[in-house]
Amino acid sequence: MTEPTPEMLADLLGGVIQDTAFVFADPAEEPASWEGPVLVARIAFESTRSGTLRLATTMPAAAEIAANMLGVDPGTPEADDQARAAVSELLNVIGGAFITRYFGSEVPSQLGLPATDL
Amino acid sequence: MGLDLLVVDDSPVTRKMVRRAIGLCGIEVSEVQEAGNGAEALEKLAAHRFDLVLADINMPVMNGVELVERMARDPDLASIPVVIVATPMSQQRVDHLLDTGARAYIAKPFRPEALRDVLAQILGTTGGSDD
Repeated sequence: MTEPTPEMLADLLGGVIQDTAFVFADPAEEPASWEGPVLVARIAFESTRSGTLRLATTMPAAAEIAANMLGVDPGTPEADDQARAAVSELLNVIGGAFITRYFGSEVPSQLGLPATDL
Repeated sequence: MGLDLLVVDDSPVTRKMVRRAIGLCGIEVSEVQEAGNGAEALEKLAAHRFDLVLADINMPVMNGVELVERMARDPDLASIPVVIVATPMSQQRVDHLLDTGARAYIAKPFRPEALRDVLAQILGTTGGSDD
């Protein structure tokens, strides 16, 4: 079994973030230079191989994702309050897409519960 | 008279998204309650008669698989349809859920139209048009 490629992961992320959070994202050549706290979500997966997926973003981006998912205006207290939960759920959906694409729908596989660190 | 629905998911964001999708379905709803896991869902089910349960799988305390199994074994709950709304999973897991008692499975992310079609199929409801 080949390793997941950056292109595969970027494609997964792009598709899920578009369908779930209505954000259109394109892969960047270089990693972003972030200022301020970085929110990192992680979720374990288990199948014929096991591992952990991590999703890192800034709090403002997380709040924007939350606003889109909740259908509220960015900058509202609700979007800010649910930013971590939104990124958790986003990674949860990415995880599901990853295990079915990487392992296939016929192979038993499982996701853990997402967790976030700031 | 509208439907009474129970949304079960450990993510408050997802619970709200499901509520929004229910609203966009155009289906008449009287009440929507929420639960953060299967155990909370069983408490809500003991206190109120719901027409349908929409449940995630991956939850702490009690996951959706156990919730479906418990409902199927309970004569008071076995007739309440359960629709699984969860991240993509293996076909084996989907088959197990449907064999255990779930009526349908919708993969996240989902469109309101998918939810509407499933509810129409299960409950014989009609929804709004695709706008």
